[in-house]
Amino acid sequence: MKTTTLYTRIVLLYFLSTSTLSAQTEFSYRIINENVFTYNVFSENSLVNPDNLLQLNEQEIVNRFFPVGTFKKNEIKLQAEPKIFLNPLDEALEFAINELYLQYRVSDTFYATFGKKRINWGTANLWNPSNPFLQKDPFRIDNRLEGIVLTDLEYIGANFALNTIFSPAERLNRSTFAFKVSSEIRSLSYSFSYAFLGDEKQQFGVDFTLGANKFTFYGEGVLRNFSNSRLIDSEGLPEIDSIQNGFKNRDAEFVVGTMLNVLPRTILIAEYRYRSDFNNTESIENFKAFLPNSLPGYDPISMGQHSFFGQLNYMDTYSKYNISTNIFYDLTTNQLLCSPGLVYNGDDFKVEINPFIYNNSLSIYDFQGRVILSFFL
Amino acid sequence: MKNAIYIISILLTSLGNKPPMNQADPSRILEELDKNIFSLDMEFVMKMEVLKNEKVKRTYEMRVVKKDEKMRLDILSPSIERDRRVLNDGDNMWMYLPRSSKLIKIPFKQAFLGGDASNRDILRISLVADYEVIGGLENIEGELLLKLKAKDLKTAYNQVNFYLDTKTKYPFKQEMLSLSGKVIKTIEYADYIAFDQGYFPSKITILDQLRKDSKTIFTYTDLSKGTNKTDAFFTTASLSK
Repeated sequence: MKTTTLYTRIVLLYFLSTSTLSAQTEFSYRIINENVFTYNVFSENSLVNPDNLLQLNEQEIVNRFFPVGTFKKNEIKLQAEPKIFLNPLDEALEFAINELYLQYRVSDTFYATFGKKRINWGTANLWNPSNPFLQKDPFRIDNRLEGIVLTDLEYIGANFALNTIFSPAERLNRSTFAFKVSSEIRSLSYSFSYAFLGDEKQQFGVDFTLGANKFTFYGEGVLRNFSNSRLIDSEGLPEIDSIQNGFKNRDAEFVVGTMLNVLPRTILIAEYRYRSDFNNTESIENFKAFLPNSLPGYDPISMGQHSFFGQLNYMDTYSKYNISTNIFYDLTTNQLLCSPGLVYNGDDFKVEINPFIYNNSLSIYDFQGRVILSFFL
Repeated sequence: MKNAIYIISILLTSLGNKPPMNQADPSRILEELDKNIFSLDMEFVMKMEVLKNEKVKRTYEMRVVKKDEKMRLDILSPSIERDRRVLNDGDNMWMYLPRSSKLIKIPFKQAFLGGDASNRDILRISLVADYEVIGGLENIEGELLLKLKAKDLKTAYNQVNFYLDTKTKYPFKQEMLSLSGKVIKTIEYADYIAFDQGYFPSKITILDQLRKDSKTIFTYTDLSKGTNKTDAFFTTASLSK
């Protein structure tokens, strides 16, 4: 709460200060408004949400506002992106700061950034295990995520780039420190990363993309000395995975994928994710047997070791209509989700229509219908 | 408005007064075309209009910077696409999506913003690097025909024919052919304006021969020779700055 108040003051000061800008400064702004309408049909056979145990609504409406302001003067850039979520059905208002940072260009090749900012590491489309800070919303990867508070030092050389990030916590040994080195050899781009995530948690990451005329092939993976899973043991208790100090028995997660240009305006995206520390057939039976107590370990898309994502996307000649079919499938749990999509892009507005069709006893819903109307001013 | 007056006055004073490119062999003409039009270091604002049955269906405006083997394109409008950026760093093409702060590598043959041109059509840097001359210059009914063949299968088109003005040797039409010799796309170069002691086509029209009702028109303004952007400007890391 205190943090939010502080950010509010900073944002107000920022916008007030921009009203007295000199002629040398550059100020730009845009307002993004997203109106999300969702209709839910609950699954009568759901093991996760029997008799609507979670008390979810049949209808949901959220109005999202993102006023984005950018101020540049000489070597300094200041960017603010507050987010305001209004839920008219529950009469709830949520306010937070997605981004608020100051970037100082020390030289053409060296940048220093302080504040709250989104960090986008990794090459995969849907899942980014090598990003220790943020994970995308697989239901809508366009969602504007909330950044992290950081100090970011970046060197951009002709042959390689180096990125170091320090994200503070209340105590130094709980803070996150990460760095990434990126380079490329002709059409192969790659990077290596390391992150200390506090409390002795560490991860080593690597990612790559290989570009060609008709496709790109990409992948990323990490080795961790800790686990992100919430496996349920035969007693119905969450397994506690201790931090490994050696290189043996590290947990691995990786994603490989391709973006294939089937026709000039038709693209096929396919991704596979592997997680060594996630449910196998036995542990998923434990999860089912001890529901709803095991609910914290629930994931609506993929709970097992092997997950697949496929998308076939067609865009018309004028980039106005976009039709896609999205399929998520988890081999271990047999979770299947199909989501065809239709997008209409105007010059300053966009309409997205997405039905979600579920086919599994673990699903909360049989069907969800979502319409998002966005305005870009 | 000032720019429009400037362009019109230049066009009026320069009609029939184009300084010809060096009279030379076909390879020399290809090099001159590359040097004066395709691989020139420059900055400009490009308007892209996608038309169906002569009616504009979509308009984009973007700032383009070219330097050596690299090219970067920042979309200025429409509002929905503002701040989207595309980079050809010599070996790869990248697109930066500001909405999700995401950077993706894009295939060369993908349609550029859904129009009639491919990414490679728009972001190609060097003609000489991709093609070589076949045969000599042919004079066909007062037009010079320069035939080029792809050096390898990586290029978007197997053969390219340039139709040149007999006096100036500047192109006014370009045909792109498939492996079977069929014309896939046609590019028309028009509205030459004085630029860098020569001329530059300020309007380029791409026609997809497989879809006769559709075409894409590019109009260039605010042209300036060279750029003061450093090499770091053409890196993926700088796209989000």
